Formats: sequence, C-alpha cells, structure tokens
Amino acid sequence: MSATTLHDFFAVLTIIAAVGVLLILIARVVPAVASVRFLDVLYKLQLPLAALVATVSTLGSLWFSEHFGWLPCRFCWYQRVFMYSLAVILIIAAVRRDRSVRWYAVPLAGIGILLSSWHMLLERGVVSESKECLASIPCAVPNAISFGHRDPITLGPAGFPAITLAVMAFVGFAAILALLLAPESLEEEENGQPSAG
Amino acid sequence: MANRQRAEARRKAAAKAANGGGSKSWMWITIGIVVVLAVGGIIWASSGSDNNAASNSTDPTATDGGTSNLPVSQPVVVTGDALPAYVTGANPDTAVGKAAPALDGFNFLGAPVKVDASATGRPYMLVYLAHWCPHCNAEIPRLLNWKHSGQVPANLDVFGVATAVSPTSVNFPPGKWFSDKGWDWPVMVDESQGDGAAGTAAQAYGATGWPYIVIVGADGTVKARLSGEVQISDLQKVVDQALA
Repeated sequence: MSATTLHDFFAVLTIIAAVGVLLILIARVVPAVASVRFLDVLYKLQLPLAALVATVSTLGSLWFSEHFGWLPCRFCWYQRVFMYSLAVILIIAAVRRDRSVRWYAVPLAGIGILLSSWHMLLERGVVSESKECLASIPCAVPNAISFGHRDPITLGPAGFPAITLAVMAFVGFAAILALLLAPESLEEEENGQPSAG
Repeated sequence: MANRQRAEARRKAAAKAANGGGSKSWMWITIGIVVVLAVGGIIWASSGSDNNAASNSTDPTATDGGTSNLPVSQPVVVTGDALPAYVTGANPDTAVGKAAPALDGFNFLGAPVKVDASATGRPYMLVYLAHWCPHCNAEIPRLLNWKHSGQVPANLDVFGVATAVSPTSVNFPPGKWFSDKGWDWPVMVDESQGDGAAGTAAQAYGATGWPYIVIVGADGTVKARLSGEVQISDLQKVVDQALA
C-alpha cells in the first residue's frame, strides 16, 4: 500500500469520525433529539471507542514516519506527545472501565486539539512560524493532501475539504473529547448515582 | 415529556439488554469494522500497485520533458575552510570578511558548475533552495522578477543551489521543481547528506535554514548572508552595499 493510499484511507476514517463528533455534539446540545438507544450505546462504548481512536491515530502516525519515512515537523511532535499518551491511558481505562480517566484524558485531548488547530492554520498559511524553513526541522508542509489540492505558493492545503495529517489529528482529538464528554447514561442520571468522571 | 419517553425507552432497552442486548452492541461494532475495512480495501484496490513512497508528493506527468529523471544529488568538492554556521539576528555576522570556500559541482544535466571568485574575479550570489520549503517557493518568483526587471548588477553571478533534498516531501524531485518554477540562473546540485539535510555545499557555507543567500565579493570574501524570505527592496540594498 502506498503512502497516498493509506493517507486517503485515514482521510475516510477522519470523515467518519467527524460525522460521529457532530452527532455527539448534537446529542449534547439538543438532548431532546437524541435517541435513548444512541445515548446508551455511546455510553457503553465511550471508553473503548476513545481508546480505539487514540490507538489508530498513534499507529497511523508511527506507520507514516517509520514505514514511509515522513519526517515529523515540530508541531507534529507536539501533537504526538499528547496523542500517544492518550492511547496508553485510554486503553488502560477501557480495560479497567475506569471513567474517571476523563480527569486526565480531557486536558490532554484539549491541549492536543489546540495544537492541531494551530498546525492547520500554519499549513494553510493563515499564520507563519517564521520566514524560513530550518535545516534541522521540516516546516509544517503536509506530505500529502486527500480530497483537496495544494496551494502553489504555501504548498499547504487549499480548498475544502482538504484533509492532512493535522486535520486528522484535530478530528482525532475532537472525537476523543466528544466521546469522553458525551451525555451520561439516563439510568445513572435518574438514580442519582454520581458520574464516575 | 421527552425525559419521560426516554426513561420509558431506557427501561425497555434494559429489558432487551437482559435478553442479549449487549450482543447488539458487538454487532454494530462488527458492522463498523467491516465497513471501514471495505472502504480501505476499495481505496487500496483502486490505487493499483504503487509502492513508491515518494509518490505521495509528486505529480509525475508524461510530458515533463524528462525533468523527473534528473539527478537529485551530485558530487561537490569544497576547497577552503567552511564558514561558521549562520546565526539568525547575529550582528555582525561572523562569516563576513572570511574567505568563502570554492565549490566545484555539477548541474542537473551533469555539466560542471564552478563557484570561485578567485577564478573569475567577479562577485557572486549563492541562493540555496529546498524544494519542499514554502518560503523558497515564495522567494523564487521574487528573485526572477528581480532578474527580469534588470535591477541585478551586471557583474554579479547568481547561482541556485538545489539542496536539502527529501524524496518523501513535496515537489520532489528538485530538477522538475526548478524547471516548473522557471529558474533560469545556473544551478548547482548539492551533494545529499541525508533526507532533508543540508548538503555538502550548504554546510560549507554555514546554512541553517532556507532560502539561504550568500553574497561573496570579487575578492573572494563573504560580504553578506541572509536566511529566510527577503523582499527584493531589502536584497537590493544588501547587494548594492556588498558590491560598493
């Protein structure tokens, strides 16, 4: 499988995850339209899904750098710090069914989403780190772009929706946040049980 | 009202769960995995058998005039001491006044390129460019406009240096990139020192970033070094001062 093919595959996963995030957001903001079944399933799968997102993101990023030789840029490394950490703690939390992991995972994902937001702005030339590319560290130029094209000058993505690794990271962090902050089980709400988060 | 309906539905769901509702969750997970794998398989199958990792960043065409096959690294011989590494903001630049090393290399077509003020008796300007660098991408049109405006001093030799080649990055190979950008000054192809790393010629001139410009006087000493994008009005001042 070529790097572009894998990139496209992850871009499809990103779109699926983005749709999921939207659904969870709607369920959160307008509870009346959320079906009970959806909320229940979501609540049951909250931790395994969050762990899955973090793990797939981690393995994907490692595969691009170690197998295809893509050098991570500075902001890629910053995001890796948070995504890789999330993969470890969310897997453990999913196995232990420890919902209190939210206290640790939400801040990590929150910082991660801020970093990937900044990275996307860098890629699109909205902000600039400097006026030069350092010889020691690659600039924030995406190696590949799915469902979009490259700006001829900034070399970053142009048009919408152009999906890069930074966009994937953003959606990954957003999905983890959405899952961990999803509405709680109605049963627990009704019984007045404390939420484990 | 909505809460009551949801609570009722919740009770029904709980009853269902007691009779195997949990297995439905697994069914949905399985369906999800199958869908994802199917999408991946379709994409994989439609991509053919392309195993070239570098293909992610190139747009090879059949009508590129052969520029995709140009060499990405050529041997470079450095004669003289290397300049100290460029430090952004350092004033004065410690390299100014030092003898610049002579460079002997080749262009993309294999023709020799010699950069040595003592041999020509003329000042020169080296422009180090990395194909994957957006700032280089933005700088080239400015430099070409400068050239075509006739403002470049007639006695100044300008050389591009294709350096920091990265087969996994955008605009690879550099020969095609230089051609596409319309670069029409002589080019020396730097000797690669690894994926994206400063090449032999770049290291000899103390490059730490791209684009990187070094102006050497007719006496063979460094007059000025610049790193990063530069506006032509600023470059013109530096060049005029260096050649005065």
